Amino acid sequence: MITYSVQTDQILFTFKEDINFETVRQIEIKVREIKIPEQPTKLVIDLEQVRFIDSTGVGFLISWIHPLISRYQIRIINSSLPVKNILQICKLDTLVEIA
Amino acid sequence: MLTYDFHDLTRENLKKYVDHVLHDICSHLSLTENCLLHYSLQLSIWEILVNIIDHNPQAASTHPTHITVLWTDSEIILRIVNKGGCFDWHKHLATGLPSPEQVRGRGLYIIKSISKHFSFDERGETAIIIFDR
Repeated sequence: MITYSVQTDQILFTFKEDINFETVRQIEIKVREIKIPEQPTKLVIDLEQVRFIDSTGVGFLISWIHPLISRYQIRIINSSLPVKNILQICKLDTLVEIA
Repeated sequence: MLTYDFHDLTRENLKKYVDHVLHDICSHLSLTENCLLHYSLQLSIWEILVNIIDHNPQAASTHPTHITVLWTDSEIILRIVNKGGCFDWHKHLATGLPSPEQVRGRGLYIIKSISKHFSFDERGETAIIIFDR
């Protein structure tokens, strides 16, 4: 579902499935269990394996990320063009960098 | 034209229904799964069905949901109907994007942003979504 690793210069979250109405409850439980360290302060979210995200998924991402932006430099990477389009429509790119 | 009547719409069978419609649309219109139009169609149908399940689960399970897909040379028209109860779409569409603290409330805004036309009938029971091909 999600893998999480703390590397020398960044914290990496890799989502391994779609984030939507069907999956978001379990994903949120898993994510909220993880205690993110204060260092390093770069946080990377890899969405390469997310083929489909809906409004529920975007809502979860925003609600999870928003409280973190004061403490971490957050970057979303490897999102497909359609997924990136939805994130931009919902203005997530005003909160974090979407590569 | 493609038509569907889905009974007992629930969280558990949502994906099966949406995948079924998209598979047929792709076959008839020669769309590939990785194109933006495919994603837009998939997401729009998904969001309307989620809306039905989320806002009125009883209507979702007791009233059939009818989906019609029509197309011309230049447009694809989706019509999704569930007559289980009124939906105040005016209010939901008029408020725009919710704040970052709010988890919900972006679905209809997304559909409006990715489509050429998006509207409901006055009772909120029929959604019409139009895309350019």
